[in-house]
Amino acid sequence: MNDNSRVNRAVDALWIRSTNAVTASTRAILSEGRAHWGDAIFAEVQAQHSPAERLRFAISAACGIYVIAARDALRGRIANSRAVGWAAALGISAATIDLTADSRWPMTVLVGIGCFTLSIVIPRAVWRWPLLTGGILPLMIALTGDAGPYSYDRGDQWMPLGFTAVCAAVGVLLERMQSTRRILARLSRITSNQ
Amino acid sequence: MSQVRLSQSLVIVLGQLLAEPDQWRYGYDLSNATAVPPGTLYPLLVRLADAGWLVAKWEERGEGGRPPRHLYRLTASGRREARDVIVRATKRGWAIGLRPREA
Repeated sequence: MNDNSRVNRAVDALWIRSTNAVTASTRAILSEGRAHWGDAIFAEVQAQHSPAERLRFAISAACGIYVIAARDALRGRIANSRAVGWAAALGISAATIDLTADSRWPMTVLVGIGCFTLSIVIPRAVWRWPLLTGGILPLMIALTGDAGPYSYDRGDQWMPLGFTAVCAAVGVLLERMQSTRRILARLSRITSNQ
Repeated sequence: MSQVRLSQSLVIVLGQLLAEPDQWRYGYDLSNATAVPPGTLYPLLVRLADAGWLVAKWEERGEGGRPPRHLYRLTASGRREARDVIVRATKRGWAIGLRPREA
């Protein structure tokens, strides 16, 4: 066997090993009820003729399977996942605006109204809303290392978190008062009927 | 039956499945015919199967020693829903660019 054919065989073996590793990972990552999708990809990959096409198909399909597996894993674990997503998006937008704007007002209004509204509408696990709206700013500064207007007074970056915590507390308080009023009204209706 | 979120890839794949509704299709064939990459196609197929729009079966036997392929076809309700999705997409002005199948 000459050197060229030895190299070709080694390359082929590498393609096959990589493809098998990718397809095997799809089979392993899926839950029992979905494992047949991993088998489906394995069968489809085996039907391709070129090793490069096999690997390309396997990698692309595997990415899709990872998305499905991640979604299955997260489903039902995060309560109000849509609201959590919106709160995080609001927090990121507000922090981005705040780091570039001259005034603190846009950030204050955005996170204040957002956090207050979320706390009234979804009072369950209310601590999430200040963290996701006001807590994103210090997180972004820590991750990017760019403190923007907070370079001179680093402590100020925590103010939105404190402010949103107050907004959330007010929101929950109002929501409790409303529900207490509703309960009292219902009780008084019951007693007056008797 | 759960809802399936409307997307351009969904419309293209449903259009392709509706083009020959009695024909069993496989992943590579669908990906080639629609130009939807496997990474988008398989999550779509999983969602369609979860929603009851798609029925899947295994090929009776694989050719040339390869494992049998997984085949897909729209269910009766899936065909109705697919037509509805395509009407909605057309109303939104989405271009449903279906590539002709290669012989």
